Amino acid sequence: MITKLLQPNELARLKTLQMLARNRVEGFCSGLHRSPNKGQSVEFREHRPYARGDEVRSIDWNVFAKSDRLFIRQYEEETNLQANLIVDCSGSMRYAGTRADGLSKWQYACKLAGAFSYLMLNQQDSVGLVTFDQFIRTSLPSRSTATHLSAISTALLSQGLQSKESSTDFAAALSPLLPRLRRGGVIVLFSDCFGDLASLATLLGQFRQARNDVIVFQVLDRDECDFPFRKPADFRSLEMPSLIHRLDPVSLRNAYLDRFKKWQAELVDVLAKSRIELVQLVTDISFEEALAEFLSTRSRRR
Amino acid sequence: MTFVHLMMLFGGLAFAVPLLLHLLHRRKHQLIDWGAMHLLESIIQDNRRRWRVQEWLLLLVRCLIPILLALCLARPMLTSWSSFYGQADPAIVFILDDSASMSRELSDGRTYWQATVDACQEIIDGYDVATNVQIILSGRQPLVLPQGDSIESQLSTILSSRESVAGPTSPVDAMKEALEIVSRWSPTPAFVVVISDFQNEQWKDPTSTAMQNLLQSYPDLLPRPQWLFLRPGDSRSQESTPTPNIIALEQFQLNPATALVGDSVAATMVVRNLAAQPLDNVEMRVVVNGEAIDVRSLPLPANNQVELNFQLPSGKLTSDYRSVAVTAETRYQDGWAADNSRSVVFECVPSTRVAVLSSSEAKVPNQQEKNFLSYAISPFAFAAKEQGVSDSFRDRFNALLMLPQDWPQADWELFDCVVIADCGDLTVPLADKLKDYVVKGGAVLSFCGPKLLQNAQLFKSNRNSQRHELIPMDLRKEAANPIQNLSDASAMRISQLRFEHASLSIFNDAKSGTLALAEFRQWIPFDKATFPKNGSILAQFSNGDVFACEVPLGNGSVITVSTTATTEWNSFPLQPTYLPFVQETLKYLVDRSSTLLEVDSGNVALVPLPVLNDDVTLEVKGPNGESHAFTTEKKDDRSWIRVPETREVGVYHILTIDSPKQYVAFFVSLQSDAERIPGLLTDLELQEIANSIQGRLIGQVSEFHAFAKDQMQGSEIWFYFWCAIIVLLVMERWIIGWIRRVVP
Repeated sequence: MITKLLQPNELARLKTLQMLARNRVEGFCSGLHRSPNKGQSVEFREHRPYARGDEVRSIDWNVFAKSDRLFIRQYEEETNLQANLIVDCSGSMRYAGTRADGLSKWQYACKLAGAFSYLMLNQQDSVGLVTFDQFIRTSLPSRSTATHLSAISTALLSQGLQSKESSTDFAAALSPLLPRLRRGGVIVLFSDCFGDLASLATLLGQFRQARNDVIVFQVLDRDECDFPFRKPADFRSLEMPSLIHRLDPVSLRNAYLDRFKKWQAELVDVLAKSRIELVQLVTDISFEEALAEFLSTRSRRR
Repeated sequence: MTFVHLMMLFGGLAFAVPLLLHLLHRRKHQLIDWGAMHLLESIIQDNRRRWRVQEWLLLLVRCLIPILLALCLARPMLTSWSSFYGQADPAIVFILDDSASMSRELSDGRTYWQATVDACQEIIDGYDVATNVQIILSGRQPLVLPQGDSIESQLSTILSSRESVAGPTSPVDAMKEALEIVSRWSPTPAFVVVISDFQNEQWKDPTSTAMQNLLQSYPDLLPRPQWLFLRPGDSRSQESTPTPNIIALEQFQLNPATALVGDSVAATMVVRNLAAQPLDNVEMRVVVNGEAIDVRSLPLPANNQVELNFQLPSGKLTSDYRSVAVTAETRYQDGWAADNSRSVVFECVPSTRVAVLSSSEAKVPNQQEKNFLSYAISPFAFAAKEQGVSDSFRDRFNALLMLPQDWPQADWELFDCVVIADCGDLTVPLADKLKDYVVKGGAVLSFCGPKLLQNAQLFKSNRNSQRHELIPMDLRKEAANPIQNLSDASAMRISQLRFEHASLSIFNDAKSGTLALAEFRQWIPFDKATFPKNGSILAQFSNGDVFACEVPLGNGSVITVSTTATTEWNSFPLQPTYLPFVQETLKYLVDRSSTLLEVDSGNVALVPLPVLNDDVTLEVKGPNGESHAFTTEKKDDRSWIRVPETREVGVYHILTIDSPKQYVAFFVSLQSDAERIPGLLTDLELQEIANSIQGRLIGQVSEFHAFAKDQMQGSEIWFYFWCAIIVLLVMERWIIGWIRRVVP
C-alpha cells in the first residue's frame, strides 16, 4: 500500500534517512532514541544511594565492598519514539500550481507524512496519524508494528479521495487531541497554516507545554508565494466554492505579496514564541530533498 | 442643434458595444481555484468601494466614446434660428446714437456719426437677404423712422439730418422701441444693432440695470432678439476719455422773444462747470438754422458758472417765416460737442399798420376810446408823442387814427387790420366797404358802444331792417334796454379761467394776468341764439352774455367786443390785461396764429387747429424744410393734428392745402439736463453691459455678418465633440491606471 503513496525510488532514498529525535522521548520499546528514564542498558549513567524498593540486583556490590554503603548502578535507557502526524486536509490544501507537476499541497503533505511514517516505523518508533479540516477526519493511534505503515497509507489515500471543500479550524479540530496524546512525543503538523494563526499558536503552545516536540511543516505552492498570474481571472475559493472574485492579478500582485509577507512573518513570530520549529516547504521542491535537509539539520543540532 | 447627417446619429447605439464586450469578455475569463483566498479577500475588502465607482466610471466613459463619435460623424450644427422659426429672413433694427457727441471726429476725418451711417449702410449692403429693417435714432427721445420708406431713403434722411444732432441718447427708451418693433415682427428673428460712442453716464448703471429689467418685461418674446453693440469706425481702440468734463448749459433766453425787423436782441446764456477741475477753453455758440452766428470761447472755473450776454442782430435771426429757433450749444476744449443744448423761439416781425376808426367828438380829453386804443395798439409811439420826444420807438403795431372825414379816401387794403372804436358815423356803405375788405382777407376788431348802437341800420333793430354782416349777432329781444346797465356794486366780470380761443391763450397762463379783474357795468346784450355756427366765442361774462366773439367772413375775420374800450362802461382799459388783450387779439387777426405751442424735442406734438376740419390732410413743414402730410383728427369738438416726428429743433408750420397763407405753427424746443460724460466706456465695460443682456460686442461690421450667418445657419461644432472624445480616451486610460493602483 505504501507504494501507492510513495514511489519505489522515493522509498529507496528514504532508507538512508533516519529520524532522529532531537529530545529524549519516552517510549515503550528500546530504540535509537535516548530516554530520560534510567533503564536496562549497557551504557552506565551514575550511582545513587540505595532506597527501599530498589531492585537488589541493581546494587553495585563492588562499591559496597569498598565503602560499605549501598549504591545503585543506573544506566541510560534507549527508548522508542511516539510520533503523531497531523495532516491538514482542508480545501486550501488541494491547490496544485502549474510549477508543481500537478502535485497538490495535500499530496505533497501526504508524501511527507508517509515518508515520516516509513522512517520511524523502520526504527521501531510508533507512529499515529490524524487528518483534520474543521474537525478530525481520520485518526490512527500510534503503533510501531510493521503493518501500521500500510494502515497509514490507506488512511491518507482514502482521505484524499474523500476530501471536500472545507475550511481549516485549528482550535476546533485539534483541541480534542490534547488529552489523547501521550506526553513527550513528537507532533508533526503538515499544513499550509491558512487559518486563524492565534488559535494555531495557542494550540501548538499547549502541545509544547505537554513536553511534546512540535514540528510544523508549512506546505505552500510556488504560486502562493509569488502570485504569477497575468491575465484577469476568476479566483474561486477552494474552501468556499461559492466565493468567486474576478480580479486583475497584475494590479493586485504587489498588494498580495505584501499581505503574504506579513502573513508569513506573523506565522514565524507566533511559532517562535512557543519555541515551535517551523519548516516551510514549497511543492516544486522534491519532498525527499526537503526531508533530508530537515533531518540533517536536526541531526546537527543534536 | 441640428445635424448634417442625421442618420449617423444611429451610430450612437454603438454605446452598447462596450457593454457587449464586457459581457462577452466576462465568460472567457480563466477560473482559478485558489487556496490563499483569505489574503485576496482582505485586499478586496479594502478596495471594493473604490473599484465599484471606478468601474462604473470606466463603463460610462467607454459608452460615451462611441456616442460622441456618432455625434461627431453626424456633423452637429449649433442651434440656428431657422431650426425653430423656419427660413424666415431675420429682421434688423438699428439703434443709432445721433447725440451731439457723435459729431466728434475719428482719425480718418469722418465724424462718429458719419461712421455710424457708413456702418449701417455696410451692414445692409452685406446682408444679401431681403429683410425688414427699422432705424431708431436714440438721441434725446428715440425716433423711429417710418418703415414705409426704403432703407436708402431712411439712410439719406439720417444723413441729411446729421448736422442737427440731438441731446443725450436714451438707451432704455430706444431699446423699448426696438423691443416693441421686434415683438410686432415676432416670430421673425431679429438682430438689434446698437451703434454709439457709448458714453459712461448714458450706459452704466442704472441704465444697464434698467435694460435688464426691460428685457425681463418681455418674457414671451420669442425668439429673443440678438443684441449687438458696435462702435463706429476705429473708435473701439480708444480708451476711456480721461477728462471728467461735466458742462451744464443751465439757462438760455432771448430778450425780447419777439422783435421787429432790425431790432437787436439780447441773449443770455448760463453755463456751469460741474467738474472739480477748471476747463481752459469752453466754446459757447448761438446757432440759428445750423449756422453759428456768435461764438465765444472762455475758461470755466471749477464748480462755477459763467453768464454770457450776447447781442444778436435780429437781421440774422430770420427765416422764411417770422419764427426762428435759436439754439445755444457748448463745445469742449477738444472741439467735442456737448450733448446738451437749449433752444428758444424768436419771432422777428415786420411792423403792422392798424387803422383806428373813431368819431371826432371828445367828451373827456385823453379818455376817449381812440386814446385807449391807440395807447394799447402802439404804446411806445403813443407815449413818445405824448411826451413830445422823437419817434425813436417802434411798435409791433402802428396805429393810424382815422377820423370820419378820412374814411372815404382811405385805401383799406394798405392796412393789416381795422379797429373800430365805438363810432356813430359808421354808415352802411362804409360798413360794406369794410366787409369787402374783410372778405378779401382783412381783419376788423370792433368795440361796440352806445354810438355804434345808435346806428340802427347796422343792427337789426326792427323786423324790417337787416343786421349788417359786420355785426355778429342780433340783440337779445327780451332785453328791455338794448344796453345792459348795471350798478357799480353789481358789475359783471369775466369768470372764465381757461380760454379755448387762440387769441386769448396767453391768459391761460396765470403769469400773463387775469381778465377777471375787470368790472363791466354796461355792454351790448347779444342774442347767442343768432350766433353763426362758424363763429367762436372768445370770452363771456359770468352771466353767459358774450364779451367777445369771432366771426369769419370770407378770407378774413371780425372780432367783436360787446363793450367799449372806455372807462364809462367798464374798468377794462385800466387793467394790466387790457394792453395784452388788444395786442394778442390784433396779432391773431393779423396772422391768424396763436402763440407758438412749445413741444419738447422728440415728443408728439398735438396741435389744435383754429378751424374745425375733419379728416383733412395738412402739410407740416419742419425747420429743415422737409414737408410731411398728416391727417387731422377730431377730439372734444375740435380739430387736432398729431405730428409724431418732432426731433428737429425749430418752428414747424402747418399749412392748409387750399390757402397757404393760413397756417398755424408750433415750436419744438430742446431743454437738456446737464450733460455728464466723464468718458466713453472701455471695451471691457461695454462687454460687461452686453453680457448683462446676453448681447455681444462686435468690433467691426464683418463680425456682424459672421455672427448673423452662424445665427441663421448654425455653425459646425463637430470639432468640440472630437476634442471631447480625445479627452474621454485619455480619461479611460487614466481610470484604468487608477483602478490598478490597489491599496496594499
